[in-house]
Amino acid sequence: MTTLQHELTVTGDHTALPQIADFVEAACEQCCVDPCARFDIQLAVEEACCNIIEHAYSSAGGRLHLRFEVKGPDVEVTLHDSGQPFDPAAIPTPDLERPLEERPIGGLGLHLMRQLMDEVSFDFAGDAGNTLAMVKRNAVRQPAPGRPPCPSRPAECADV
Amino acid sequence: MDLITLDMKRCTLVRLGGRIDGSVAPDMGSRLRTVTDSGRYKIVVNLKDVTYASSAALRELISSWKTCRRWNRGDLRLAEINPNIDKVLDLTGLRSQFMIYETEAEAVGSF
Repeated sequence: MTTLQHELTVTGDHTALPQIADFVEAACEQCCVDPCARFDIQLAVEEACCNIIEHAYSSAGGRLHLRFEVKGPDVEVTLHDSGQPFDPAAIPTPDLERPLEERPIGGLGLHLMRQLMDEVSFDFAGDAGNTLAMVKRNAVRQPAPGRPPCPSRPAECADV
Repeated sequence: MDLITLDMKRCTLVRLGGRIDGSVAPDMGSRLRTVTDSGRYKIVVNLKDVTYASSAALRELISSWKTCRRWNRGDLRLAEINPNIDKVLDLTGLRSQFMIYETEAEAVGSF
């Protein structure tokens, strides 16, 4: 099974979001991730980072580490922070049928992460910090037979 | 993020473009508030050139939508959404909440 890994450490505040987006895009490009899956991964990662920035660190900043791994056809993104832990089960699922007038503004981030990724799991380990792992299954296109390993030329990837 | 505001006869047209993530969404919200603070509550937001929008962008759109709709004084309507934005609106249950038009002309003409 092919494993590729990219890592990034930033200060967790909103100004880091473009750098994080560039990191994810570059990793997707190098790892030949399907264009449709790229959007999902980008959005899920941003939602996760915003939650860490705004809730775990209360917009005061803090270390945010990202690891992007390709494991066979799957992409796993792991985020680690040392901010305030939270109980994911305590976050209510937004009622999407409710009229917009009655819906609170916000609360869509975790919902989007769960919709866009195939697995979302949290681990809160006290002083060791908080870890969020998200998996997108079958996100990687396989290089076409006889072609060099894809990364730099995703157009030459065979369809999954 | 690119944002152009045009005051039309019956509404204000806001053309958005580029990437609207959590780092620029507050600025977008602030500029939409400038429109509503000036007493203009009929707004069309053209999303044709938006390449990416996260929930931070949706928050600002919902906030402006609520401001516009208060006391039935107006509405915020969307035009020319691309597939990626459509997907986000669908996943968040917003596609059926906003009035969405295929063309900018239709959206402007709806007011």
